[in-house]
Amino acid sequence: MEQKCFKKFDLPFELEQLSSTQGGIYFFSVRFPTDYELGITTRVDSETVLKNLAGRLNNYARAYAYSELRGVLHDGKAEHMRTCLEISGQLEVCTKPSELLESLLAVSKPPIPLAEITRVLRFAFSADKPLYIGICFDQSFYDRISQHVNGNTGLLGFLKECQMSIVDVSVNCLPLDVADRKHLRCYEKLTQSIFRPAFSLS
Amino acid sequence: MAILPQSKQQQVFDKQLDGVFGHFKTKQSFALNYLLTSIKTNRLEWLETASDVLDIRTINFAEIVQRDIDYVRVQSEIIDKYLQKGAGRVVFFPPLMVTLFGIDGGKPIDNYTTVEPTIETGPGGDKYLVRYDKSRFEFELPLTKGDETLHSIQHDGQTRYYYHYAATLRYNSEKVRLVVLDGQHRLTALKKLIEKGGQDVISEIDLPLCVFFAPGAVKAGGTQESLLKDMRELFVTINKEAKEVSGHFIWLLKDKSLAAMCVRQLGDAWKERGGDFSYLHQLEWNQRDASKARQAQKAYSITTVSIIAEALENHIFTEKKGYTYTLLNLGEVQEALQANQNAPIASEINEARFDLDQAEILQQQIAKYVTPSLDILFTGPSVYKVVRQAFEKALSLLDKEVKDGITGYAQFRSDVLGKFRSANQLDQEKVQDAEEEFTNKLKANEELGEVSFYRRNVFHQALIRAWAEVYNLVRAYGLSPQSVATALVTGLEPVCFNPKKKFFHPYDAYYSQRVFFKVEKIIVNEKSKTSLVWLLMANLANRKALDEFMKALSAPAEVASAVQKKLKETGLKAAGEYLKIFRERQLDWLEAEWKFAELTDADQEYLSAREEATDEARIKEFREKIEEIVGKRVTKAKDVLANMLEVAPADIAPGAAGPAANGNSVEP
Repeated sequence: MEQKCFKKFDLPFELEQLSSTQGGIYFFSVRFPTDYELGITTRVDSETVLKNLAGRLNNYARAYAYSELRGVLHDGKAEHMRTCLEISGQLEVCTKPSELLESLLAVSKPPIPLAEITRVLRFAFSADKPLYIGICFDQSFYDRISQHVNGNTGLLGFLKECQMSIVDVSVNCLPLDVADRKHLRCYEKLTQSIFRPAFSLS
Repeated sequence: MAILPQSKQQQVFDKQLDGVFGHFKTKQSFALNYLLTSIKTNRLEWLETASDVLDIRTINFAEIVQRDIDYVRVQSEIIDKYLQKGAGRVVFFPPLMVTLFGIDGGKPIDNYTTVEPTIETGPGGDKYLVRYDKSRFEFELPLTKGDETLHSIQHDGQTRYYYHYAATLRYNSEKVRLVVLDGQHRLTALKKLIEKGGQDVISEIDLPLCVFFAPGAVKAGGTQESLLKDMRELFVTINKEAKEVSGHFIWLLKDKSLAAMCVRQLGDAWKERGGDFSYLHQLEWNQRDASKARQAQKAYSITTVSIIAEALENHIFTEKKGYTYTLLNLGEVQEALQANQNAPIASEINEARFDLDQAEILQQQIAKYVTPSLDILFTGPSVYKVVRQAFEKALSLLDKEVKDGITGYAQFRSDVLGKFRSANQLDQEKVQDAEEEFTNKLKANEELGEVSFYRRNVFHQALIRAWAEVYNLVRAYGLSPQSVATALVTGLEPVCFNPKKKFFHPYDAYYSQRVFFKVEKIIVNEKSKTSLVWLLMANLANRKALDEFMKALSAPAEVASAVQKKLKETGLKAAGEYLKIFRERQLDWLEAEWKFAELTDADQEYLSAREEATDEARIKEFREKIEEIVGKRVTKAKDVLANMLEVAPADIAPGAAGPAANGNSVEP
């Protein structure tokens, strides 16, 4: 079955559903956990669920913040005379999602159901903001994503730095049949320039 | 109230042992007192095994495992090869570890009611006496001065010194039993040797003993200490390290293994189900012979601990696919699992990778999700209910024979069947006969014969893998592994578990040949195992099966249609994947053994003429002919499978005709 439109795969559970004949452009994004996975629907006490959720949100925030502090600083002169400085830094998070979550729950009476909170968050994460954008030209999606999953790229290290792992991400794949690598590379750069994903090495 | 003279009081203690007294306690542990002593072989009846004393209904699976006696080992290794062959060499048994087991009304006590330490003065000097429950047992230590011994006790705020090597234990045999916790095989060997007239061989033995008891388990003392808990703990730990293990025991005694945790929990769950002759009889767990551990040996077994554990180890708790993470729902405990930051994170945990600190949480997750699922998978299907019913029927016939007083039947019921073992040469002939008859009645049960395929290792691993695979497909919908297990066994009823459908019949199921059947012989290899997973999942293509699956799943309405669509597609794809394996296996077989295949004369002639060809054109013709024959067979297999599943052959996803849907090397 050939994949025609873009499709999302949860990793590593759906790795084998990736095409091993097609390549194209792909990006990783955070997979927001199900209520079941968070323990909301499985009789786990609410304190544990909250701790679990808060910890995850901090990790996701850290992963997305990673990208915002990499870029170029330049003055206002014309482009050919402009002084550019490539800068990067570590974000000192002023307000952690866990703290906001805590204050949200502290002020609300009666207490907000956790399932409502996760519904809102799931809605926000459904935007699938890229964490990493990549291409596979002479490689299939299956082969390329397997390299990421098996730790042959820097992805796992990056996730680990944010206390995340492969189960916390999904991969979105768009098959593209293009004649040369440059063509695909242009799409990669174009999309990276918009989203500035945390872990793309462009 | 009259006061009894001291001499009368002491008469309740009818047994006495003298020896060296000792005390064992770490800073945090409960205390243990012990007496190092010995016993002549004519007093062996003073000692009993846990098997004699522990009522099966009052103990858990871990304890049953430990009390299991390997009678073959007793006879061949200890009696025949050791005790009977002492000429020209020394033989010795290390001390048996024996506990003082308190009994009241036939039941073990959990703590002592009273402990009374006193000092008695007599003509032989002062004696320190501690009496437990007035008439249960007492310890006596002769006292002396501090400069004569280093051993002391505190009594009434004073330090008193005693001769540790002259201690005496007296006990009331109606209220105390001496139970061997370590050395039960040595004790059984000695008893068996005496039974068979070999008393003279061992008459000069002073059998060394270490008798211990917990002095602090006193009801009135406000302690949490429990004699039973202490004994269980010692029993399991002492025996765990005792001997090299094999067969099922590898799994039962393995500490750091998720698969082992699962089978132990399943054993515990099945022990609690079904009354005196519980479902544990349907789980073989005490086979020591490794070659017999991977197949159910008894006519009334459903499966074995090794089959389940190996399927879990090799296919479920692996690094692949995230099964461990999803089936144990490690997401809900991921913070707790990270209590130690150096421990593997939730998604990295698998059979080979977790910290012992994480074991308790993992056990809880197994108990919450996997054990109930395994219970459903192996007791829910009608084919397994047949096995249990046949066992219960045979049991009621046995009860009738016991009632009729037929010799050997009562002993077979209590000593063989009741102790989860098979009769052996050490049992009386009548007992062996009773077992044979019990087994023959089961073997004659036609219904049991019809479900024999479902009791094979190759099927069980496929069932477990299919459950994990289906769960993986629907995991995002917030469903539990148990609900998927229930849905799967229900969904497999119309076709797979319906013996009338003959879904696994070597002839009616044409597609089975050379994949998991070689004529009537079951093929066991990785390909056949994988093929059966696809075949089970192919059931989802059947409308009735899928309807039953969905009904049992009770998925929320908003996701039900998406789940159903996904499963239907999966069923058709699985059928295609199965036929792909059929094609590969047929090609392999025909290329090597076409002469033995049922081919037309013309095909035989065509292939014979090209068999030893060296020119490329004829080699190609040979190959193309084989492909053509295989192609026809695949078409036939596809038609038969489609007919079984009640789908159109054209609906079966590609796979048979070419690569898998995505071309990957797919492993369910």
